[in-house]
Amino acid sequence: MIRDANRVPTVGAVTNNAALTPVDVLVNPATNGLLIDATLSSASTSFDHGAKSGIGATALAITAVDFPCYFGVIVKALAANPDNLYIGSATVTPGTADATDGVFLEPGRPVTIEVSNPNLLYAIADGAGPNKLYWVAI
Amino acid sequence: MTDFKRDSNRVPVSGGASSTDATLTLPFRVNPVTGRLLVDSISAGVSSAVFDTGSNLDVDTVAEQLVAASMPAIRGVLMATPVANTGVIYVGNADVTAGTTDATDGIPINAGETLFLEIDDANKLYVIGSAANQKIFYVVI
Repeated sequence: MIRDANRVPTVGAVTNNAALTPVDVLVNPATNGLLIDATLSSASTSFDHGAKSGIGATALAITAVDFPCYFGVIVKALAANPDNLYIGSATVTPGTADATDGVFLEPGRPVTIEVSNPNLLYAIADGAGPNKLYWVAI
Repeated sequence: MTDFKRDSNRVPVSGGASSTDATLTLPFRVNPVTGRLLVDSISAGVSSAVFDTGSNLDVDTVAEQLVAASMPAIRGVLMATPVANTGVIYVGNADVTAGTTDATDGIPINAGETLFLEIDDANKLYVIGSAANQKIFYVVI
C-alpha cells in the first residue's frame, strides 16, 4: 500500500481473481469518490403474485399478502373484464371524485406502481363487474 | 501526496490511491448531509453487462420453469410471447396457476405481449399456459 506524507497507508484489498495480491483501492481524483465495480445484481431475489376476483363497485384490497417489495407491484386487468378498474388506496373511487380517484386500468392493461407492499393497493370498478386483476410484487 | 486528515485523537481518515497515477494518496469523502461514502461507479448507467437470450417453445398446462439452468441477471428478465400463441401464459413461482386460483395465479402474458420482471435469475420464474403448446421468448440482462 502506498503511504501519505505521515506514513499512513491507503486502504488496500486483495484482488478478486487469486485473492492473494494486495492492491490499493483507487479514488477518482476529480470527485474523491471511491471507485467501485458494480457487478452485483440490482434485481430482486424473490417475488410473489396472485389475483383478485369479484371486483365491483366497492373498493377491495387486491391481496392480504404481506410482501415487502424491492421495486413495486405490477397490476394487470383481465382482458375480458366488463368494466374499467381504478387502483388506489383504501378510499379509492372509480372516476367520481378528484381527490380519491385511482389509477385508471382498462381491461387487459397493466400498470406498475412502485409501492412497498401489495397489501397497500385497493381496486374498484366503474361497474358491478365481476372484474378480475392479476398482480406480481417484486 | 495528500495527507490524510486526522481527528482529535490523531486517528487518520481512510483513503486510497488516485486512479490517475496510482501514486497520489487521496482521502475518501463523505456527504456531510447523509454521512454516506461517495463512490464513483464504473457502472454508473443502467445498462447491464449480462446479456443472454432463450426460449421455451412448449409451455403446457402444467407449471414448469421458464428455463431449468441458472441464468443470473443484473437487471432482470424480459419475456415476450408471439402473436401466434393461442393461449395465455401465466408467470409466477413454482405454484403458479393459470387464472384458476386467486392465491396462486401468475401474471398473464397474452399473445404478442411483453413483461419485464426485475428478478435476479431466470430460473426462478415458472410458466403455465391456458392451453398447451405455447411459446415464450426471454432476454436476461
